[in-house]
Amino acid sequence: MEPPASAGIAGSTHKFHPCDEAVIATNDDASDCKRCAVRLGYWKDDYIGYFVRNQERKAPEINRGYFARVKGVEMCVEKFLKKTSGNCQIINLGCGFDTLYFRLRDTAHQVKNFIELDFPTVTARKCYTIKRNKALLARIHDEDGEVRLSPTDLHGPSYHLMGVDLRNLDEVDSKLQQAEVDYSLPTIFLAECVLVYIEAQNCRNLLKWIAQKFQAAVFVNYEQVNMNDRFGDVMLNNLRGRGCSLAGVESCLSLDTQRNRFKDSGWTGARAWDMVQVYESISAAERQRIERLEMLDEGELLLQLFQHYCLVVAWLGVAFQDIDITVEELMSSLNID
Amino acid sequence: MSDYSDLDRQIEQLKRCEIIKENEVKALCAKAREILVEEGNVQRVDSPVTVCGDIHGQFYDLKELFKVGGDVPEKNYLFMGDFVDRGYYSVETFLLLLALKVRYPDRITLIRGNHESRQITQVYGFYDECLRKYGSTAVWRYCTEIFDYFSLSAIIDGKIFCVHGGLSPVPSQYLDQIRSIDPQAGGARTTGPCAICFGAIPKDQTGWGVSPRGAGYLFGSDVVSQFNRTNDIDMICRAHQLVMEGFKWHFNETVLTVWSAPNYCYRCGNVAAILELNEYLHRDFVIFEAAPQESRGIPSKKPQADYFL
Repeated sequence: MEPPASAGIAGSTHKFHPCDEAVIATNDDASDCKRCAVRLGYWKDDYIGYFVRNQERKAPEINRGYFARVKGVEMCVEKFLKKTSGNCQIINLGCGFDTLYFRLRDTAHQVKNFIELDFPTVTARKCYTIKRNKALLARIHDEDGEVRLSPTDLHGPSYHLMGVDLRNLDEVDSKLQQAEVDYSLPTIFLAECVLVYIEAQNCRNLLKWIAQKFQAAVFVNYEQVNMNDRFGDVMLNNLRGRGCSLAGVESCLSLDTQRNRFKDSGWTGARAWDMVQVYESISAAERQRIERLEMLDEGELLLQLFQHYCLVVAWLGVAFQDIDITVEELMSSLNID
Repeated sequence: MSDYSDLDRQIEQLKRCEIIKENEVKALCAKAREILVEEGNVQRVDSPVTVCGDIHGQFYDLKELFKVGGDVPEKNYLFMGDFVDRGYYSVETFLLLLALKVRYPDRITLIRGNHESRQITQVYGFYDECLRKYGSTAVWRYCTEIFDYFSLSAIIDGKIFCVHGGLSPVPSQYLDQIRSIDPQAGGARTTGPCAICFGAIPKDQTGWGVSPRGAGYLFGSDVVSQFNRTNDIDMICRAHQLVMEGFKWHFNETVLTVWSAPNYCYRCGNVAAILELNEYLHRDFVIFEAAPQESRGIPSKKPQADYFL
């Protein structure tokens, strides 16, 4: 990885918080883990390898956890795309090196607009990687379309990647307008371990702002839950040791606090599942396939992790209140002891 | 005494969490093999002894264990396997225990856990760690070869049967059957004769069961009472499963789980335990927590727990 020169990053007038560097580093960790799981065959992703070179092997419960996360988000996105027949937009908040846009391009699913936002430091690296790889670039422009690039932003005909501080709503608004966002088009917001790093008030402001601006929307949020116990204490302590505080952890105390954050911010409704339930909702055949990839020596570890992460789906209006995961049987053995 | 000067130096080095040279590992494993080959599959151990569960490469927590439990050779120890994998210092942890075994063969007993295997160490970190620390897989090969020589179980004063996982239906009606297992003869790890160390787990119902994750047998309370009666044993002591409180009784105090890796994976928040047995087999549990940060050397070496970030 040769990081691009970060000097002269445009538009980054925001105040840099002391934790931002550590939060930015969480993208590298998550991307490494996704790359590892993909390499072992947990799911298919032809693009993550362009963004991550690291070959380090992760423990099986970490691979399985990322599998559940990626599949959980995908299930929601897929239902939304079917329901809107592609007449919609996707806004990926704190996108990191997520490859969903590229993976969707290889399917029959098409969307009107795909917008990705993250810290300028992250989007600069993502822009740089896309610029250097024809396979990625080719999936952003069509024959007559052109791609406009700045050090931190990239604009294609229906793909926009932009550096922004999600705590600065004026900046978010102006960036979304640069991306030709349509506030009246059905929109799905994605956030994987993003809101937890944002101070509670800033996060509520962001969710309120979205609720006021957009007419019909779904928000898919993956992050920590049940943090009010010993495991949560150890996690807070460990991450603090890396200079990373979970500024929004007060919304991660239970599935209730997760749902209420949306309801209190002007969203019509919200549902939430812990990752035990999300994992159970993945088809039995698919679970059996990945459970054969690696032997899990200690079921307790996976269970503990799954109990401390969740998927929240919130909606604006009534059109999308049925976007969810299908939990057929609540809580089962997870096929572990 | 000069025979031991090299070994003593290596032990001191390993106690500082510094690796020893590749050729020293090779020689150490050769000496260990000479000792281990004489031990049976049901190694006899005399009380008083301190019984320990999984360590999993958490080197500084092993040092904490010796701090609360006393040092070898002043104290007599029995470790019930899973020395390697998951933690960041499997190499130092395993080699220190092995060096102590060679130096004081009668004061420390090491039996085999399911992670003492070629296959599992390639998934859970020991293989990668050897490669990272030595630049080749030679040390991993020396160590995994010695794994095959570890006893599968031990018996303390003929009364307390110690094994990594638990009981399995194939060999363990009688201790004599376990004695005759040849671990190097192979066979399926979780269903063959070695299943006692490769994953057996106590279960709530009676009889036998198969682990749903394909990791060995489940054994019920009736199986235990029959085994204990047949072999005139008071209790079975095992490790293998994380217990948040460090130890856990099963089946009316006939089976005990001991877990000795505090804050397992630097993430789980559990305490650890060791079981001290005096010469009358009186039981004392010592509970301990993860080693404090300041005892772990320079901060940059701090291992990172894995989460979904």
